[in-house]
Amino acid sequence: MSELDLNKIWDSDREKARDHYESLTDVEKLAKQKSENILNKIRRTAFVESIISTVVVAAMAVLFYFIDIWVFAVFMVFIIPVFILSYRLYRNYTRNLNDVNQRKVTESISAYVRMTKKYLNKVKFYIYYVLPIGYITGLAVGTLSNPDIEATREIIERLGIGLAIGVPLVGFMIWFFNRKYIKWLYGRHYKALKEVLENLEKEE
Amino acid sequence: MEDFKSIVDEYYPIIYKIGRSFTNNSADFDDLYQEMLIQIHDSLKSFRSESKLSTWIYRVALNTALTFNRSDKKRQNETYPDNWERIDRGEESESAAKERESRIEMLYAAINELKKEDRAIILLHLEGKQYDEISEIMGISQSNTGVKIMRIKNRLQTILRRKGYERA
Repeated sequence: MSELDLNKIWDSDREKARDHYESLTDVEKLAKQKSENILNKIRRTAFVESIISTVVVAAMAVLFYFIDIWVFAVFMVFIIPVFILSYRLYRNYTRNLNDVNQRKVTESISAYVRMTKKYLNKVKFYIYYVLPIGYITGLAVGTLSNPDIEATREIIERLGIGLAIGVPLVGFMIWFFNRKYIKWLYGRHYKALKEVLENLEKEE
Repeated sequence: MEDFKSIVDEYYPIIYKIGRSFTNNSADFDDLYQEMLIQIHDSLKSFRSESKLSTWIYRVALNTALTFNRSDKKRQNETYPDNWERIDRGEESESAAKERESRIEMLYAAINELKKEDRAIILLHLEGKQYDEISEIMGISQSNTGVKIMRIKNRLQTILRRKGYERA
């Protein structure tokens, strides 16, 4: 078997490529569909996240405005820098995304690995820190805000063991399933990309 | 600058071949082929003619194929059906066409057994690209490109021999 032989076979596949191409009814329409590329999926998720967080923050701002103008002011002072920072991160991310597929293969895969890792770290940060803290804070605020302290205490005493078991259990389940979900959605793909990059960069 | 349609009219064979080399069933092939078209279409706006158009096309298509994520795990064990595409045989006799067809399929099957990154390199080599251009597309040194090609070619030949490939 010679190299020439393989090149000849390889070149002879043009007819099949042409038949396939001619069988496509509208190439431009096909090219305008939604991309299923992993970075584009992350971009769409990030966009949806930013919309949801804007709506939630706006609703909270309105609520605080009517409760107390000082609470509203403190809230705005803290939330505006967070918003500016989030917007800049999102803009940088999408700007990098535009040319990532046009770079040299090793550079491109390296960017994919870096950007996917960054996103995974962000999601993990939410799952490991923001979610449990938010959950516990919400529970504590909800319980303490009840004006009838006696009634609340009675409920806690009555449901004491149930709450002691139930709250950590629910927290654990949320953490566990989110972790599995992220691993299933991005983890495998991230590992495969890292392997491709390592092999490409290996000097032989 | 050329428009999307005229670019695809010229480069569809390489999009097809990359699609075949990176998938093992027709459903995945359709998904990857479409994804490559989407990426070429979307990236065209920012193409700055810093590299040759062909180099740019290979980069976009190969990067898309290397990062392509099969969504359906069940498909992984599927294969291309026999006579998957209609072939225009022209003047060629039926037995010669069948022989050629089986060799092409065997070559794709062998390439499919290679690691993803090795598929990209051997594909460029089979396309007749020189080491400097392969190095420019892949972003690895020319000397490393040469060593990798030798190693991948040996591996490919071993797979083909195992599959019963003989010289025509």
